[in-house]
Amino acid sequence: MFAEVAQLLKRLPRTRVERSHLLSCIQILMALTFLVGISILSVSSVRNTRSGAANDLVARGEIVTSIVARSAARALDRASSDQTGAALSKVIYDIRAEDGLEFAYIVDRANRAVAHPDPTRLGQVLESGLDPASEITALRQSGDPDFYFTARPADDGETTYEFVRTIHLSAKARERYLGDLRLHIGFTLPGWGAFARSSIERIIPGLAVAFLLLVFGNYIAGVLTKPLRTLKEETGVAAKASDDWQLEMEASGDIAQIASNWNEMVDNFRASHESMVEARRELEVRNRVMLYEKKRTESIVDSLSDGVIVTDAYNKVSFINRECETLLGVERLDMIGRVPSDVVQDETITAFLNDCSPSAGAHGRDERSATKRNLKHVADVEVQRTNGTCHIRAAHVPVLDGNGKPCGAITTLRNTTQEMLEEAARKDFISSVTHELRAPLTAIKSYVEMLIDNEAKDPELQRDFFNTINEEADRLSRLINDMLNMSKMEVGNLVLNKSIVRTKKLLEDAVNGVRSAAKGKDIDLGATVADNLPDVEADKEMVRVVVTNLLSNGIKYTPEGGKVYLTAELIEGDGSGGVNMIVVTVSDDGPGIPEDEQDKIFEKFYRARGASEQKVVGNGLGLAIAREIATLHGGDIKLESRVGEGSKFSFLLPAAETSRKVS
Amino acid sequence: MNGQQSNTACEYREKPLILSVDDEPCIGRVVQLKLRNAGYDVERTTSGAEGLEKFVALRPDVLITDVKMPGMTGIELCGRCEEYRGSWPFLIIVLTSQLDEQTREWLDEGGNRRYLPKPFSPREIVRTVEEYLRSRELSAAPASEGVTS
Repeated sequence: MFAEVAQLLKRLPRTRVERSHLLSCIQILMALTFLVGISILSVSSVRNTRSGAANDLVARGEIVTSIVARSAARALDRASSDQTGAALSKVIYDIRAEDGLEFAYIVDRANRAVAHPDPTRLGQVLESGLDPASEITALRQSGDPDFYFTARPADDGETTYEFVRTIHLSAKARERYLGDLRLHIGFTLPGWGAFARSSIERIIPGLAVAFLLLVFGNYIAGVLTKPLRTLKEETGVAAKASDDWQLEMEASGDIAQIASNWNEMVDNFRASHESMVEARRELEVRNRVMLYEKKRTESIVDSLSDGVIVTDAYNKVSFINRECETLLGVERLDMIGRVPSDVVQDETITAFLNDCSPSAGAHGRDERSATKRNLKHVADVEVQRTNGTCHIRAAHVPVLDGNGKPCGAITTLRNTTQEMLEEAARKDFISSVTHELRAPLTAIKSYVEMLIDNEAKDPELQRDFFNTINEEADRLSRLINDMLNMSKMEVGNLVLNKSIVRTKKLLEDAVNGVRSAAKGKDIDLGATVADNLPDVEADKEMVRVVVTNLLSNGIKYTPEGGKVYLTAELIEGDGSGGVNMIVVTVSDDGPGIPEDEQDKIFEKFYRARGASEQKVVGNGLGLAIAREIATLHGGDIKLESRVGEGSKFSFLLPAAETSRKVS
Repeated sequence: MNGQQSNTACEYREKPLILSVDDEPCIGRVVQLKLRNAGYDVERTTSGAEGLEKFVALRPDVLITDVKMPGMTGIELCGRCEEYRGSWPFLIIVLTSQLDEQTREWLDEGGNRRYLPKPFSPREIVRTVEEYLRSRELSAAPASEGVTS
């Protein structure tokens, strides 16, 4: 039973509202059951009570009739002959006060009333005191042949019992009455309603007392449990509160102690909670700082221009920076957790990484490798890329644990391609400058020596020698000037010495200045200079340097028999602010300049690939100086070129109106 | 067979032939004038490729070449000419403003290779040529005598 109830309670809904509703319903049902039980018990009690009352009445009837019969017999014996009627009436009269007595009378053998409370009935034949029409509900003929009783229902649910007893008379009396007499006494048994009312009347005070006790008990229970309820409500409110868990309630005794303990617990919990919150906050701050530091470190390492690979004791990548992705042509995520040489495609890099891997010595492939893995190992490797060879300086540094055993390694990869190119350019520049310096110096020294040795006897030849010496001295001077200008450019000290320049004449002089070089290569050198070119305010020598450089380049790169052509025209409003521009264009029949080199050729010391392939002599300064000079004048140098179709350099020089004197 | 023809060609040449290769016309011209004044025949070209053609065709006694030239460099020209070393005797004189170590070693290891740093003296060229031709005559004389006798 209890197990079933427990099971039922377990199945109760989880929510408090539904649960309380269900509990209320159960309480009502239990109350109803109690009432029904009480009712059934009451009905049963009434039935039992009435049944008992009926038995009691029968017993009483038997006793009363016995007593009255004996009294009547004695009274007749004592009474005189003329007083027998009165004696019998007195006997009947004496029992009138019997509770529930309905009737009482005495009849003779012929059923004629010889004693009756109603004198008018004396002498009448009275068969029975009961209504003969009503149904007999009880009839008993006991073992006593002088006694029997019948019961018939009366009004209002009542039942009337008629007890009949034979009155044995003395002989004398028998003579008088011609036989024995019969006593008829009727008692009324109250109906069900009476018994019910009686029961209710008995129960009501009990119920009232019980109700009062219940109310009082409830009150007392309420008074006693109020602090508990308050405690329950307060703890409920506190439990739902976000921060105020203290109980504020008036109580005494154990409840007060519980509340005090609660509040103390809350204080301790709050202190503990606050310290935990503080510790958590501190931890979060530390985590954030660590995260920030980690990200910062990663960002720093990521920002390095060198590639960095960090491997663990098993030679598996634990970190790789962005530069490595570029250098090795791999995805970072593909590398993490894997052996580098398993992912990297390039054989040279793979060979280096294998040499440095912890397993290199274990395979016994190369004894030096076993040593390499514990030492710093540096190697220059070349990696083939689609856009050319990439030079990488790879350095492997083992990371040692506290016992000096390798627990990982850091491999750095530095792209030295630019350094190599710069070094090559520097060497090329030195070589070129040396050559360019020595070439005119050689010519001057040789020709002077020839003149000293009187090897040139012909005056015309001598003049030619002197001219050559002069030209070579100029060439030397130009080279020195170029280098000086470059030096000034590098420190930002290239200052223009401006004056009004006759542009047309300057351009014609520049063309004539390179005519001999063009003639030496059988190059068709031509020029078209517009008549409307204005004079400009510019540094005459610098402008000449620019034009001469462009023309010299054209001649140097144009194959023998080719064509170099200069055009100069005025473009109105082409410059910034609508300034007129003089555009000097030098076009050649050279090999053309690849698109990827068209910006680089203006960098100092840079020489186009075509220059190296053709072994064209030069120092890589001309175009850098030319663009700097053009920029200082507010102009520019532009290039149009396609491989195999020659090049076209345009020198844009602002042609501002001037009223200054021509130099 | 080429060696015999060349030796015969050299022996019947009235003057030693010198081939000058230099992309700088003014340098080539002064070398040519100086050596002609010294009594030699001088052929002159301004590129390595043309110089190789003339070297093979003319079989000169001395090749004088610049190093830094457009196209075929002087060192490349020397390397190609060395392929004919067994064909006829000749001297290579390299005129250079600078030499890398490898080229310098290469020039030093052969007895018939010289280099003159720029700026050179034309007199130096003449002296170098004369020394070579004299030493060649000296080394050839005992053999000739031996053959005659």
